Amino acid sequence: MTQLGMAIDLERCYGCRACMEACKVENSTPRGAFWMHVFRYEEGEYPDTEQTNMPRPCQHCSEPSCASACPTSARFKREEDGIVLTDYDRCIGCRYCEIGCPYGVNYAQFQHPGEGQYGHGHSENAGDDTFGSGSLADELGDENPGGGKPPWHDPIHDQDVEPRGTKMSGPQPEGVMSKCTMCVHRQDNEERGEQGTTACQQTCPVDAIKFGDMEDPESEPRQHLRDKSSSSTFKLLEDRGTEPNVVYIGDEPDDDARAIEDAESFKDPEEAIEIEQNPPETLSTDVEVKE
Amino acid sequence: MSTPSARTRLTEPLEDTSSIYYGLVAVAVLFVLGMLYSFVTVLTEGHAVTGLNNWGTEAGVPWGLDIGAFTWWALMGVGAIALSAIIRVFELEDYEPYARLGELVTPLAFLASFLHIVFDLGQPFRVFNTLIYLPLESPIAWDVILLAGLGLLSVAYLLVSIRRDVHELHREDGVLPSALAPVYDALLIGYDDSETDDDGRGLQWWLAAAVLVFIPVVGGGLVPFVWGPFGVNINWFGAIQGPTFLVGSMTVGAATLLFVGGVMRFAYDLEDVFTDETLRQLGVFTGALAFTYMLGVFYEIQTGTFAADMADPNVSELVFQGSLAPLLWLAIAAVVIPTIYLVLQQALGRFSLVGTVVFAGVMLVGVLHQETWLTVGGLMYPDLMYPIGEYTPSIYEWLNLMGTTALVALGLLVFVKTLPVLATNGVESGR
Repeated sequence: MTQLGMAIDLERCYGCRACMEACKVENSTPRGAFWMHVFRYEEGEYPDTEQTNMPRPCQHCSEPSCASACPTSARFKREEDGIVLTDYDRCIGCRYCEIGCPYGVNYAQFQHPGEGQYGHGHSENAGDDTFGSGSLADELGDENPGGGKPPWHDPIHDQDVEPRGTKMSGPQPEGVMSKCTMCVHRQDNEERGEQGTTACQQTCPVDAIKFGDMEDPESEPRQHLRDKSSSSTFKLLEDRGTEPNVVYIGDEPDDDARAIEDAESFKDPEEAIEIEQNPPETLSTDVEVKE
Repeated sequence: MSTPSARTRLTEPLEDTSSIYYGLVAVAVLFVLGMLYSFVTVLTEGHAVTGLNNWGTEAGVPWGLDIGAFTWWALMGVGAIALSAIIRVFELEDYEPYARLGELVTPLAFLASFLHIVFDLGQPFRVFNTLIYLPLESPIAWDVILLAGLGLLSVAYLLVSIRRDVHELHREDGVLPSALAPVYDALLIGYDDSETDDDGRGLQWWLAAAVLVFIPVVGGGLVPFVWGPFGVNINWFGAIQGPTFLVGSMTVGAATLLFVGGVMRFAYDLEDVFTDETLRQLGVFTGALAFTYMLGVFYEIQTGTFAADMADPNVSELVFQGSLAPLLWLAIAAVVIPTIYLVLQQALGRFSLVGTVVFAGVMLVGVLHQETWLTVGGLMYPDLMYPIGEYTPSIYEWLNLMGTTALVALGLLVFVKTLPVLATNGVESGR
């Protein structure tokens, strides 16, 4: 049996958060939703403190409590490769999975997906101009290859995903749940040549994320775990019995670990847009914009 | 058969319609329209307009007032029908009028709780997916089975129960509104007049007995018993949740019967139906249940099982130290003070109708408050290094709550004019 998972090397990670960015670009997740998040935390007493960075994707558990909590089986574990997926066509948006999961990886889409995108509200084009100037129609011209899809939406995510043949990939529609899919569109589309990779893993500049079959002793994550057998390893909140499939290399954060970011530094996306639109005097630049 | 004077008392609510009645109907309709406005707004604008947000990196709280209100109405429905069934099964004749009130309140309360779920869902029109795909291995599926099953049972139970009175008032006296005659005739299909004076072991008795078996087995026993040993899954299905839910439902049910019975007596001078003695004793019963419910709540708080899986292990301490602490004490006071009042009333041999109704109302609000903060408090303090969540109910969530409350009130107001709200034998035994 295949069980896709990750070995994440905290001894290598230096907290650049490129994985978070790569995930956002790949999956077009809405503002504020981080399918990949990096905990940056500090332990010890000043001046003997140590800082650690811990990337946190969905753990794609072998006993996923989110799936147990789901009242419609929209959240389920794909037997073929062990990825935990959300059936967007079946999900009712009750958020039980979010409440049943100890890792905080689930996100309900509370807005219209277009309005949830970065850049929405920046101009009259309502998010169309995220990846270019002008309106969507201007960008696509007569060919309209996206079939009316907003430019932020990679059409690959519109493909049906097996085993149910329903939508499960990429940004979810309004009112339903989603989370990290281990880039299921990459795993299912061999012709793209990205099978066996995820956006976060591919982007990591220090190769701290190893992605592959955790059941296969020759897979990258298993090999890496062997290479670093002298280091300690842990799984996140293993005592909850969820049997996560992400193994961390490094020391487990102790009870004293405190986030470097406090609530204030998780900037409210709406506030960020407001600042973007009306930058404070001190931040505005004098660069002339070519008309 | 009832005496003529009892019959007059019975039909009084059907015939006397005051301007206060029309005023109450108008206010209720207004609030129901407000609820519809809220529903349409959230549907078109998205749940972003509510106070809800994802916990974790977005520092929100994913469940709020709608879930608290859902729980509260579900408690009321379960409790009201359980008490009604107890009165029927054990033939507590003095309390027969309360049994009828319970039967009428139950379907309305279940409707209100269902509506709050619909309002809360991201995809409200997919609500029946829970029945289509019902995964029996999920403990939540059993919540659905409990409430849907009990909802159906309660409607069947109500219909069976009111048939005899509808027969008397419609066929014999003709006092029920003639415009609804086809409805009453439909209700009476297959009704046999000769069955009225049976030994009390008719269909109604068996339905009541079924309710009494169904509630503890599905609601409080089976789920914790079967899923407890698995250990995994969602930790708030611990052993204490079942009994607390059951006692909570009986508390809310009893307080509701007390409240509605008191209001009915006030509105239609029914001192002989909802007597001092029965109201006072029901008050003591309510108080005893509320006390037990609070014990259950304290166990939940002490063990942290009120909180969801992602919560900090020290969530109980954090809740008592954090911004929710004053609300917690307020909720406790709103349940404990009415308890003391209702019990003292019996101990001192005194009775005040206004006091009883007011304190029953305060207790109802207290339990709603209690359930809401338990939900929100359990979702504010994540375990991993996420920021503390924030939640303030939006105007839309308040409109939903006021709307469902108005809808239940409106339902009762309509029932008063169209159905036999007072059981005929209740009037007899009350005299």
